Amino acid sequence: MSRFSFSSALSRIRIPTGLAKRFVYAGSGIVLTVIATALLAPFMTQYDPTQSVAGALLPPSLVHPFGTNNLGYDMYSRALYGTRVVLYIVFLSTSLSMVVGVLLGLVSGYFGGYRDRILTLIMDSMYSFPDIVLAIAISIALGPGIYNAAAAIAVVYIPTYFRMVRGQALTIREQNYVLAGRMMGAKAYDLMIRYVLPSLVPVIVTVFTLNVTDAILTEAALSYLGLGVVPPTPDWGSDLRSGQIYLPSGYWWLVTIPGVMIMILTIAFSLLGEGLSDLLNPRISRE
Amino acid sequence: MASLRAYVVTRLLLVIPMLLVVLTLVFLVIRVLPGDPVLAVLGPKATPLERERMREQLGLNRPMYVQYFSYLGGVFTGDFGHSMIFGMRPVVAEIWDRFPATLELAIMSSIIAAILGLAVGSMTILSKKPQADVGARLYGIISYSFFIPWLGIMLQIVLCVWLHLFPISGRIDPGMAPTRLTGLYLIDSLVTVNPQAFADACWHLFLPALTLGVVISGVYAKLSRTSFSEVAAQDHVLAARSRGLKEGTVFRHHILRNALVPLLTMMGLQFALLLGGTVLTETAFSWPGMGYLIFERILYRDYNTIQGILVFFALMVVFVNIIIDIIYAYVDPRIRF
Repeated sequence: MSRFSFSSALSRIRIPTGLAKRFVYAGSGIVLTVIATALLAPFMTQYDPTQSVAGALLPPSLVHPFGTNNLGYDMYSRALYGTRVVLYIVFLSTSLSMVVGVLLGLVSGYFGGYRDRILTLIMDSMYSFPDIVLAIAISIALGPGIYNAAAAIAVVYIPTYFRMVRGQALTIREQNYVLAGRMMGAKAYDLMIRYVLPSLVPVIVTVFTLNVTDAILTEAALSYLGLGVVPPTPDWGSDLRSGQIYLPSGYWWLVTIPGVMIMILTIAFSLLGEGLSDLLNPRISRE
Repeated sequence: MASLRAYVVTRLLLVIPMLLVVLTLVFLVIRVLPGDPVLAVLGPKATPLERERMREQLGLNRPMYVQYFSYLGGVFTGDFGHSMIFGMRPVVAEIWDRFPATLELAIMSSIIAAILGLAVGSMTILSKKPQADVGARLYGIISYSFFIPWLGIMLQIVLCVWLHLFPISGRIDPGMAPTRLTGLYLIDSLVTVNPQAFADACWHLFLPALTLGVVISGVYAKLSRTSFSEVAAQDHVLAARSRGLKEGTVFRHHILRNALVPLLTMMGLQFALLLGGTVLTETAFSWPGMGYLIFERILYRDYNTIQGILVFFALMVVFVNIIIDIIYAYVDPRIRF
């Protein structure tokens, strides 16, 4: 009878500490601002991020608050439009890894047996690559581009969801309400999706938020290494790389801004993830 | 110690299927996914004859399964094939040239990360103020959120370009490199009594190691915070406090001592994170290690070298994890199969 649901999980929160709340508010505030920036970018700047609009390598000024790069592109509009690219790739890839990882994890944890052994072996092997290294390998094979970068990042983070869901599913399938469902003759698919999965939602949400942080950094890393998004598409990672060439000449604005943007976004998702983890899974994160 | 031997043997046997899957994954990704290495190396202007010759030279004209088994056989006999550019050196030689640089960076960064992480973690236990705990959590979040190349570049611009305190890139000044014994400049220069080389190597190593160390320290701080507070909640700590021991003594003798071994183990298990970090740190600082080698060879599409480094990275992670497990089993007799 007592199927889990997201709202019942929320109502079971025991220690909604002020700190966790503040983390969630701060994190979601920044995330919403960044999403708004991505949507409203054309209204926030008059310059096309992929057009030369002024002299090359101009320092920050009132007209160009973040200066211009070696091609005379306005760095302010590149910083703003960069939000679109990173959010697009990161949400595409993490959603994909979440769906695949959660489904495989459910199958593995729920059925056990040879399916579990094979899947666990493959996932553990993928886990033994540093995530950036696996992403590099796949991007080399696929070539640069927005969708290829998203695919590479998606593959890399499937084991993250798989491990967590498998572990949880192993314990949940032994719970009475699942046994009751099985006795009433529910099919395996129904048991997995309608009995086990809902009680995993809080954990999945938390892992997803923290995973977005890693995905942002990996996306930036791929573009920084020349394997992800390539110029002239505005991307912080590739802007950092093109700006680094001019570092010895002291053009600090070319390298400072893209990194600050990356950091704002990763901190936002970390705060959100840590806060959610306190609120949704108090057992795990509170001593 | 028979049971420990059984543990070690079982642990090693369990790794064989995993190694096979790891090697197969690399092969699948590099060889089977679309993208023609020969076309990439020779460029679109090469004649069909030239392409065919190179294909033959690299053994790419053989059926896929033959390539697969010769690749597997090669890895187990220590033959990773030949580089596709620059005189086609053996990939093992290329890796051997660069491995010490990566090792040196990884060791120094993890020392810096462990010091910072333990300091932040113990601060949360020693300080009674709730702000300390909030501070430690924020430290973890912020330091982990640094994009490694960016942190490196920021240090470069302030300390190298503006203040001229450190070199901007490289491992040692040209001509200063000590005679190669281990390939670790810090050790080689000490053994050969070459203080100038030692100082120069330290001077070059500091910023890259600091960059990676700070980023990893966030994870270490989080680990120390949890394990310190777990131990601090145990009865023997309460007993020690009720005997009137000073807080510092309780921390050093009752908390730190009990938490340290599991903690160092958990830090060691972050090895993959550390290794991934070296790729980005090396690229940002032109540090001539294996990560920078990948970066250089991406430009030339030198698939063989890249494949070799990928295999090498995965092997390192697998074996470091095994060694840590075995050490831990040795220290803690409760851990057995």
